[in-house]
Amino acid sequence: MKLTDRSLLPVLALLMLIVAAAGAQAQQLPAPEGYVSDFAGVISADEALRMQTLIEALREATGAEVAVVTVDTFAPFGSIEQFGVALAQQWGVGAASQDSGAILLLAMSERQVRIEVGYGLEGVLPDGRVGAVLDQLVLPALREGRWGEGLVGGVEGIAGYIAAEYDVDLAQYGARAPQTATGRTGSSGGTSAEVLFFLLLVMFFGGGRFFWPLLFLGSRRRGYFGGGFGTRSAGGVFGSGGRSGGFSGFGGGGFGGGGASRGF
Amino acid sequence: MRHKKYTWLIAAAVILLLLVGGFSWYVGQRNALIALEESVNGAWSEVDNQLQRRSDLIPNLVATVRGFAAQEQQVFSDIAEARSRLAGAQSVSETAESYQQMESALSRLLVVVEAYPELRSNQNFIRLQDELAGTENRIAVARQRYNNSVQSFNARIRMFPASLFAGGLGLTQRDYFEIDQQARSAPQVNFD
Repeated sequence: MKLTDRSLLPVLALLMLIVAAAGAQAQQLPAPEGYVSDFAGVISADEALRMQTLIEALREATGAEVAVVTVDTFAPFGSIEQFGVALAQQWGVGAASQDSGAILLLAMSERQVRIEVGYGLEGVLPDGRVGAVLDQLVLPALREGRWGEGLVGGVEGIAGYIAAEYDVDLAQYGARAPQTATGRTGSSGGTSAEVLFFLLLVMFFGGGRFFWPLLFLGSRRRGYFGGGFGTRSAGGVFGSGGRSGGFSGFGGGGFGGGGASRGF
Repeated sequence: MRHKKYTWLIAAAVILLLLVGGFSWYVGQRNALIALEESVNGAWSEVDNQLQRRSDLIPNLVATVRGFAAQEQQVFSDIAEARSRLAGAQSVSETAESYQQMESALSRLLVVVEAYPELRSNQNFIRLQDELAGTENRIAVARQRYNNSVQSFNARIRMFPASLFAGGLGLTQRDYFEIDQQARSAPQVNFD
């Protein structure tokens, strides 16, 4: 009797280890709470509502989805980039048929912020633009400790670019683009040449990038297909999706590591 | 006599059944292997794409930096050399090697840039740096996905039963995109 108990111990220990490891694995990536997942608890209710309203309007109009996430830390991941792409891919932000998703991610203890851009939005939101959104609309508020306001600015910037691309007007919900896009640069001269150069750059790289995801359509698809343009049932997983919109799961979009990060 | 005839018939039917079953099992195995190999190929072409994209970014980056720091000839020629080596790389290991060379040349460039505050605050440069950082991250993601697909492919063809006929199908183990951690660590910069 005693002998069998003892021989069972290592087996039990091993089992417990496996269960613990599996638990830890699952804990690494939290489940979304909605379009705004404030795990760090730094966003006010009003700011969360503003972002949510804008993201729902954006999704209604363009099919693109944006997730806002705050965490205390991105550990055990090595960098905010690794955490960002893992989370975005796991949640599947954006319509699966277009990979039109983006995540705005704030890590409090590392004091880092990142915008992760899905394959389908890389043409609209090349890394340079994303960096400009962070520099101009997010960082100023974050540096002064107004976390929610910085995130609202980021969502407004992302939505501004996507809305302009799809030729829809979401300004009533706050969508806007950073100043450089409309021609006025911050301080130094040489604006028109810079803008022209930037436009050429965007055309050159943005154009090429747009097609790359198409090469891998087959390999990256999950079985489930979210809706495309403006279909309200795109997420459909939890079956809500009434007229009021509301969060009903993300569409299943894919991510390849595009975007930009900043410390603050 | 009649009894024996039936036995033969049954034996023949069983053998036929085994043959058909075995054949369809083999076809299934074979198709699964080919699908796995194709996923390795797909993952590799994504790595290749992102490496190419970084190469395409470099002329703009170099032109911008040159406008402010024309005298830093050494780092520019290092980058040009790494770029041409990447273009000529054939195998996975050659690509990985030239990738590392490029990585260290670029990080030397970014160290050089530190000495030019005007350049660092230049809007073009900030954008190019974002593009570069984003592309590096895409390479890292593509590389990890490639290595994962190689792992499942290699494991499959080495394990029974696929190990029996993988060689006959011309399927051999694929190389990982390995990075020498030592070479990746911060480059030595000499300001003399």
